[in-house]
Amino acid sequence: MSIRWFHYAAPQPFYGLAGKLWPWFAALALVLALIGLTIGLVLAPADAVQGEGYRIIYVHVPTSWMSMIIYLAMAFWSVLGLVFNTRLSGMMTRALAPTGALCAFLSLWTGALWGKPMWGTWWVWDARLTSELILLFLYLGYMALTSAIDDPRRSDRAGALVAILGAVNVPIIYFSVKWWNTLHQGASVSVTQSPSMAQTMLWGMLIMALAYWMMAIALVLYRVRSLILWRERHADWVRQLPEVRGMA
Amino acid sequence: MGHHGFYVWGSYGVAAFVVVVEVVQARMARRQALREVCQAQQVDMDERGASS
Repeated sequence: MSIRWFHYAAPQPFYGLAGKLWPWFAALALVLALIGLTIGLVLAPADAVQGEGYRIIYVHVPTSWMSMIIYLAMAFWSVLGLVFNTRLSGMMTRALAPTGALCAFLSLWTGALWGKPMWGTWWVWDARLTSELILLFLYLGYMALTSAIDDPRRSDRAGALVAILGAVNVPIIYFSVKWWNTLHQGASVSVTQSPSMAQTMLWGMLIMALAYWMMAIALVLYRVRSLILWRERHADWVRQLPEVRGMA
Repeated sequence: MGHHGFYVWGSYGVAAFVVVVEVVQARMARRQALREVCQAQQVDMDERGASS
């Protein structure tokens, strides 16, 4: 296969590619969310122990996963940016941050709403919850820092450092339930063990997770196009774009 | 949803709200970027006109 990876690492071709791709990911996200919600809210039975309250799992687990995956993706783009000095990397990192922050927020929010009826408390300062809260702060710190520095190059570099250093926190979140004695339960799904939940519930959760994946990709592709436009605002190719000519 | 309705719908409601916020924010950011592109291009044209 001769996909020209480095060709698409340049802002101009990627702008076009992202524009073609995002509607497909958005459509996939919508279809998967409808299937996932039908399974989670209609088809899946109530939990033997937790009753209907467990249904929070279909939002809580996917958003928690995404909050970690998106941060790792930011660290990945940051390494690429620092090593190869590609212009797109900083923009991709920046486009990922808002969705990651909101996923971390949703993870904490739905966790609190799940904790109250099941544990009797909205919040405890245990390892899993605290490290996820730190992840939210890392996202907010990244966004505050990058928006405070005007020069795009310097802003990208400073952001890349935060993204890479902060990535240490992600394995801490993931393994926190193993390393420390926490109130939070262990992993519901793992590669080595058969899942500790019913088939229907598992499918609902996985499909919802996939829906969140697709939504995140669609949003990031859409957002990075705005960033490319702004940074390339003096470029000739931007002037030639139909959406720019239409505005003039 | 039994007696857990508040917690379950509180989760789904806020999650849905966040999706709406993200979509609206992304669209506004694009419109803003397009506006600023037009301004920048206008400035470039004026400068070119002034220097020639």
